[in-house]
Amino acid sequence: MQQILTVIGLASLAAPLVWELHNDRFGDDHLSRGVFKVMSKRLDVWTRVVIAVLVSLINHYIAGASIVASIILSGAIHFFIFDYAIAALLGRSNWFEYLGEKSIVDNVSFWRGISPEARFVIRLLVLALALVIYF
Amino acid sequence: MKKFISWFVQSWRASRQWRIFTYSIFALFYGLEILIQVLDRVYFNAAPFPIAAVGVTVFYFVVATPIAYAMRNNP
Repeated sequence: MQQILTVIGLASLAAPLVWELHNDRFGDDHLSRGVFKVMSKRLDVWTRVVIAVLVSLINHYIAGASIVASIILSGAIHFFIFDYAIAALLGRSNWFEYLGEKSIVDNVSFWRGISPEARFVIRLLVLALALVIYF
Repeated sequence: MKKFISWFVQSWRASRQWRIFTYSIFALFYGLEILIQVLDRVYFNAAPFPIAAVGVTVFYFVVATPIAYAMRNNP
């Protein structure tokens, strides 16, 4: 039973990723945020943070995981998967090289300059580190 | 046979990035499983968690398959 709860808690840490993929499924240019008439990028980031904190609290409650480690792992899952998944979702043929245009990380010249394989290795290392911290 | 070999070689070359992506994740989870099991045995005497089995299963069905499906006309 405890292991099933651990798996459910771990899976729930992908909630910010799922929400952001759903939110950006037609691209990130539009302002279709209903009653929220704010800059979409800032709202996106804060919604993600709120969802990450919420699922980390749930994870702490049902699986006894550390809240900070859960937030870190949630961010690492998002960082690792998001660009590949959104490129596939938007039907880009260059899914492995794809980068967003607006976020801060995507506009660091070092991050833009290195090869897609190097970016993948860095993402993988971040995920590995987060998993080691989590377990 | 010749046709099959040329098809195989062509697909193998075309899927290079996809293979890097998928097999690296598998290697990460199996590597972590070994690392964590060893650390748990040596230092913590804790109950093991099958991170490789869970991680690879979740990755395969929740991440890799949907991405492959979305990319099916755009290899």
